[in-house]
This record gives sequence, C-alpha cells and structure tokens, in this order.
Amino acid sequence: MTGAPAKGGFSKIGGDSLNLSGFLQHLVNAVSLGGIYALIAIGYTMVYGILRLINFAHGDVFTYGIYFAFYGVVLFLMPWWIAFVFSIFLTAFLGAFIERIAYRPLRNAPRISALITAIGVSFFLQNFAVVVFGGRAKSFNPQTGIYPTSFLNMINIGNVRIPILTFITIGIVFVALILLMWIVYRTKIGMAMRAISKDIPTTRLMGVNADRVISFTFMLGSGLAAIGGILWAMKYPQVYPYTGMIPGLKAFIAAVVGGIGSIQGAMVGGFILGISEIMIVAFVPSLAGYRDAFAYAILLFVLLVKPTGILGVEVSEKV
Amino acid sequence: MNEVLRINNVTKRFGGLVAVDRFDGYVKQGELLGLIGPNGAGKTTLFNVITGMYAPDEGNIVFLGKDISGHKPHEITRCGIARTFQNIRLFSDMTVLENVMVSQHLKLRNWLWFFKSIVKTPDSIRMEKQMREEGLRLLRRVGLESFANEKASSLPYGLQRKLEIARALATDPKMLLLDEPAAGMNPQETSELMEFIKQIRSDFHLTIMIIEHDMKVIMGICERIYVMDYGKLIAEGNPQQIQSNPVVIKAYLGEEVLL
Amino acid sequence: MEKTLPNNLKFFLTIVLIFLIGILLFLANNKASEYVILILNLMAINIIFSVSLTLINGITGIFSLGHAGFIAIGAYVSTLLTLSVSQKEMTFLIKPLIYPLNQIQLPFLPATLIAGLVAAGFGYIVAAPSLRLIGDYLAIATLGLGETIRIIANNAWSITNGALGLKAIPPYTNIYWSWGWAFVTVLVISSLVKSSYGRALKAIREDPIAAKAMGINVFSHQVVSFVLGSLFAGVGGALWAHLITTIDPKSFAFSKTFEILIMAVLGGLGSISGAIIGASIYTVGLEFLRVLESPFKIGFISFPGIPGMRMVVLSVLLIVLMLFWQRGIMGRKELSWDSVYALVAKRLKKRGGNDE
Repeated sequence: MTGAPAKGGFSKIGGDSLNLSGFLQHLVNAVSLGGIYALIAIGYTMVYGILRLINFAHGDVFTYGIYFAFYGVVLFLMPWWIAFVFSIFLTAFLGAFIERIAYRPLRNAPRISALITAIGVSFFLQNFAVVVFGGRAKSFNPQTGIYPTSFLNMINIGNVRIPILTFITIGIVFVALILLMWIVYRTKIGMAMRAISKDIPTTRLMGVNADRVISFTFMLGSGLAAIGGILWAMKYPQVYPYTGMIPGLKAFIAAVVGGIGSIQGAMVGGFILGISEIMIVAFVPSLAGYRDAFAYAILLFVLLVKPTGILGVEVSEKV
Repeated sequence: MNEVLRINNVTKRFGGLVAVDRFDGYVKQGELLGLIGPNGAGKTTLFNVITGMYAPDEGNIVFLGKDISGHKPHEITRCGIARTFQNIRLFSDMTVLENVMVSQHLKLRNWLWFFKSIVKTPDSIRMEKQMREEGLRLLRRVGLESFANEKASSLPYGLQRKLEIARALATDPKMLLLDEPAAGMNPQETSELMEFIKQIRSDFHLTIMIIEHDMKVIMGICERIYVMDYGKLIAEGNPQQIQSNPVVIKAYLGEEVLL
Repeated sequence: MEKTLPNNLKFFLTIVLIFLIGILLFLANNKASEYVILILNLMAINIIFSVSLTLINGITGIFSLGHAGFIAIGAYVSTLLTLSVSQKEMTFLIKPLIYPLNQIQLPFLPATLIAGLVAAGFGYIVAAPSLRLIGDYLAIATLGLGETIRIIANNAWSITNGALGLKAIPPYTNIYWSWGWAFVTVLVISSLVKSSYGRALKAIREDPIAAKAMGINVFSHQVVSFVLGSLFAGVGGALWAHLITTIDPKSFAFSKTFEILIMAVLGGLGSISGAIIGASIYTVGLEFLRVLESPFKIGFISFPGIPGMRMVVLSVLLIVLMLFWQRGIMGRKELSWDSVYALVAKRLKKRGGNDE
C-alpha cells in the first residue's frame, strides 16, 4: 500500500517554488486536493454524526466509485459523462447496501463490534476488488479515452500555466458542497438527518422513518465519495484496489480535525489537510516521502489541543 | 465541632451555566448530612467536584485539613472519600466479589507490587488472599455473601445499589457520598436501606453525605440538611427546620405543602 | 455448588500439560516436515501477537489499532542487531547504516530482548498522548501512529534501508525460541490478568469513571497495559523477522493488525485462552484456505487459482462473526482446569448416571 504517487497528474512544478507564480500554482493545486478530501470527509462525518460509527469502508467506497466510472467507459462503452454520473449513483447504492447488510444489524450492539465490522467490510471491499478487478493498477488517463484530453489543456494566468482540470475540480467540489448544504439545510430529508443526529428515538417518535434517513445519509456520503474518487483518479491517473486507503484515512482525519459530526468542520478540515500537505511538500521537498505522515501529525496536534476538533462541540462525559 | 470536610465558596460552570454557585458548607465528623434540591440544582455536580471528577472553577475543598481541590479522583479516593453513582456504575461483567476486590487495589500503592504480582512472590500471594478474605468479610457484613460469585449485572436492582455501597466501603473510606441510593426502590427496600445506612455509619465510623429525592429517607435519617436551588445553597437546618422553611417550600416544592 | 480442584492438583496438571506440549514440539522438531515446523512457528508467534493485543484491547478496553507498528519496531531493531557487519554493508547500498548500529552484532536472545524493550519504549511515548483520547479517537490515533511508524520505516533509509527492506536475516527462530517466548508471554500476561492489577484493568474496561472513583489511577494502568502489550508485540516481531528472513515496510501495513484482530475476535476479545485458541485456529485455517488460491478442478471444469480469495473469505468471516457470534469462542471466559473438570464431570454424569 504505497501512498499517492508523488508526481501529480498535472501541475508539474519544477525548480524554484518560492516565487509568486510558483506559490499560486501550489495554492490552486492545494485547494483542489483539499476539496477532494472535503468531499470524502463529509461522508465520514455524516455517518459518525448519526451512528457514532467510523465507517472504515468509506475509503473503499471511494475506490469503487473510480472503478465504476472506469468500467462504465471501458467495458460498457458509455460516454464519459454518463459513466461518471452512473458511477455516482451506483456508488451511492453501494454505500446504502453496506449499511443495510453490515451495520444495521449492529445498531444496538457495542460500538466496538460495529467498528470491527466496518474494518471487516473495508478489507472485504479491497480484496474483493483484487479478485474481481485484479490487483494491478488500471490507468485512468485521458490518453486511453477515459475522458477528453482537452481537460489537460493549460490556461495561462500571467506566467502561470494551470490545466483546465484543476479549475474543473475546484468548480465541481464547490457545486457539490453547495448542493449538499442545500439538501441538509433546506430540504425535509435534510432536516430529518439533522434531527436524527441529535436523538434517534425522539425523531422516530416524530414519525420519521429513521432507517430510511440513515440509508439516505449513506447514499449521500457515498455519492460524494464517488465524485471525490473520480476527481482524484483524474488527478492521479490510476486506480487499484487500495487506492482509497490513504485518501480515505486522510479524509477521516480531516473530519476529526474539523470536528467530527460537523459538516462544515469536515470541509474546513479537508481544506486544511490538503493545503498543508501540498505546501509542506512544496516548500520542504526533503520531507516529500513523509507526506502521508503529516496528516497524522496534524491529527495528534489537534486532538491534544482541542479533542473535539476545530468546529466540534464540547461534550463532557456525564458522570 | 469536629469538621471533616469544608467546602469554601465553590463555583463550577459549564459554559454559560453555573451549575454550582459559590457554595459554602461543612460536614461534621460522624454526621449524616442530606443534600436536597430540585432536579438540576447542582447536587450531583457538587459531588463530582468533591470527588475530583471536575475541578472547581473557584473556591476550594478541604478534607481533614488538606486542600484536595484539583486533585485527581483516584487521589481523593485514597484520601478517604468514597462515592456511589446516581445511575448505577458497577463493573457489570465482573463478579460481586471482584467488584469489591477492585476497590482494595488502592492498597498496592507501589509499582513494585506490579512485578511482584506477575512473578507471584509469596507476599503478593498473601496480599491477594487477604484481599479475597476482606472482600468476603465485607460482603458478609452487608449480606451479599451468597452472591459472591454471581455476575454483578445479574443481581436484582436493590442489591446492585447495595453492592455499589459495599464497593465504596471497600476503599476503606472515612467519608461516603451517596448519590440517590433509594432511586427506584419500593417502600420496603427503602426502609431497609435507611437501616442499612445507619448501620454502616456506626460500623465503619463514617461520615455520610447523601443526595436523595425520597423525603422519607432524608427526613428519616439525616441530622442536618442542605438545600440547593440553581446551584446556590438556599437553606440549611435540621429536618424540622427545613420542613417548615418557607423558602424551601417555595423553591423546592412550588406552592405545595411538604409531605 | 461448583466443584473446584485443589490448587496443587491444578499446578501439577499444568506442569504435565506443559511437559506434554514440550514433548510434542520436540517430536515435531525432529520428525515433522519443514512446512509443518514453519506453521508451528507461525502459530506460536501469532499467539504472542494475539495475546498481547488481547491484553490491550480485550482486557483493558483500549481499542488500539497500532499493533503492526510495534511489531515493525521489534522486527527492525532485532534484525539490525543480528545482521553481521559485512551483511549490513552489503544491504545498505543507497545510504549507509548510521554509526553505532553498523558496528554491532548481537546473539539472538539479547537482540530479541532489546527489540521488545525498544517497542515498549515507543509504546510508552505513544501511549501518553493517545490515551488522553477516548474510544474511536483513540482507535484512529493508534492506527495513525502504527501507519506513521511504517512510513518512517519507508523513508529512513539510513536506519531501515527504506522500501528495499532487510534481506537475508539469519533464520534463528526455531520451535524452541518461538514456543518458549509464547509460553513466557502467556505466563506473564495471564499471571497479570489474574492479579489485582488484572481486576483493575478489567474495571477500567467496564467503567473508567467508576474505576477512578474506586481509587484506581486509570491513566497509569492503561499506560502499563499498553507498554506491556507493545513489549510482547516487539518480541513477536523479532521472532517473526528471523522466521521469514525478509522484511520491508509493507509487511507491517494495517492488514497485519487486521489479521491479529481477527484472531483475537475469533477467540473472544477479552479472554487470554480465547486469544490462544483464536491464533491457533487462524494459523492452521489460513493454510487450509490456500486451496482457494490454487487451481482446482470440479468435474471437467478446471478453475485457475484466484489470488486474494483468502482475504475475501477472511473478511467475510470477520463480518459474519461480528454479526452473529460477537463473543467468539470463549467470550470473556478463561479456560481453566476447573472448567475442564466441570465439563468432564457433566459428560460422565450424563453417561453413567449414578457416578457421583
């Protein structure tokens, strides 16, 4: 399980990175990476907010999102955009299916059992992918016809050259985040989600079908993970069974850093993690090999300073 | 007057809520002190501050001439204050005897005992045997001996409350804090409990502080009563004084007449 | 009333059992095939891993997911101590090994001991900050720390030889070392669990707040449990490295912790004898599952071997265990002579009727 390849799919930065244009390039890159982390982190935080469960399998759901998109184009010969949308819905159903099979029966079990089950589901998804899709990495490169090569065209801003894809990524991330906020704060089902995260039994008494709302939450989170996965695969153009492990872990850390249970926190945490990762690698290149360890360092630091995360609510244990 | 515990101007806040508001009080040697007040008055929080679960934001607590405020809960227990919990907190997957023996663990103050108990040196075997015997003796005194090898969670509710008291007694305390010991008990069990509390006070030479909603218990066994409302101490006195105190009746029972 | 056996008899029976196992291992060592000996070694090492994890996760209730990290430390430290000076020169091609280590060569026993102590030391450093967290936060923090150890191993070329790993490790681990250490591990940890300290650890698992109120220093007890578990994880790592003779950072990925978790859960999280049984079944079962990855024939149709199938089956096994059989084989109970006796007595009674 190696980390993400150090070389990005685009935005190749060479030599002197301390000038302004270099910084701008890093910043755009960092925001797009942070946005992807944020999309995944939301899935963790919503599930944790409702079930108090770390959905270990979420990173692997992300991987399956990439695989679905890949096979949609390669095997089912769909146009790329149909394949991508199809993948988002299929992944959403995968998430809900996992909840139905593995987590729902354990809703009243000790939390350790649910956590171990989630770890089991994660390993199942990874190894099932090895068996079904094969262990070798598949190329997710526009040259192989997955998506139009024009996405890699460069835009010049001053003397900075940034590929269109980076802006597309940032644009999609923000559209998805705004859509999510609209669902959570402006729709009935969103209200039910917020209510359920406060108190499941009471919400049930109000006539809300808790199971359906929980299923919907998993669908929403998994759909966002699929979007994040496809964007990730465009950035680091390949997919293999363990693709989701490192970004999944980092996104979980982002959720904890931002304050687990808080959607805004997950966004903040995602951007903090993405930006600090890119910036540290850019300005202290000798630490590049440790890029996957930064997230843990940030996690430990935040947990020790403010255990509930940046936007988390302080809950003192009742004695 | 021989004072065991003094609470000096203690304040505890949770965010904007002042759970305990400049509480001043004392407990005398051998006294049975009641602490009453409406729900949310801050009684349990005061217990939690005394036992070190929370550090007070202001003020301090002196136990037997020693300032214990800000000390860790286990240190305070070792000083001689033991407690029970409002919602029973037994070690439910362990046996009744083990529950009581856990409380004797504080006798092993030196980490040397840790290595001794792994190697099973003769003195550690002797210590273990002594703990077992003392645990059994304590269970015999409170009438739980026949359940010694049952799981704590398998005991009926009333006996679980009793076991919690026994477990606290096993720490060899000088002072015992009981948080609603009669909650959920029927009248028969309640009067047995009252006898039991008086009994252990004299048997173990204890000073007892008790939070209780059942007025029969409070008026029946307490010598002195503190009344709290909104975190503040609003009245103090013996049962007769409290029953006739208009402030208490108004704050605590609304406009109804007590009993 | 349950019947219990006299203490001297139990002691005697234990000695006899250990003696019998010793004879069996001696026979295996001399007569059995290399493959069987390898499996027996793996079994002992897995027992060390799962018993030490059970102490931390099952007895003390600290949900730690960093075990692989401590195994890695044990494996690397011991290997760096047992490799000969010339071998080290040949291995560390990209960056030479740092000074004191490149001049030292120690026999296996001190190397294993030091490996355990270094792992314990790391455990101590790691425990202090992580144990301030509770529940899920602790799980994720320990997972992160385990992964961080692996990432460091991947990058600290002048100590670990980075991603290339260490090769040609002397194959010192044999039946006597592995089972000897497994015996020591089980003895120490079960002796601890049976003592007052064990009761205190279980009390912390059941209810940390009540444990505090009963005068137990919860934090220091958790640290001690974590350090002791790390120590034996390090020892097991040392044995493992000198069994498989090649290590690299990938050997200590999270999947290693996952495997150990399965063993412990299968046996019953919270039971030392369960951990032993779980590790034994897992080790042997994994070998039987090899069938799944080798080509096979049903009738006229032959199927090619499917790589990865074993892990699929294992993860399904874990999920099914959790869904339908959470307590595992032993639950939190321990196997003891009394329980064996009670079982036998029950059987006899059923058969004989009047045999009392």
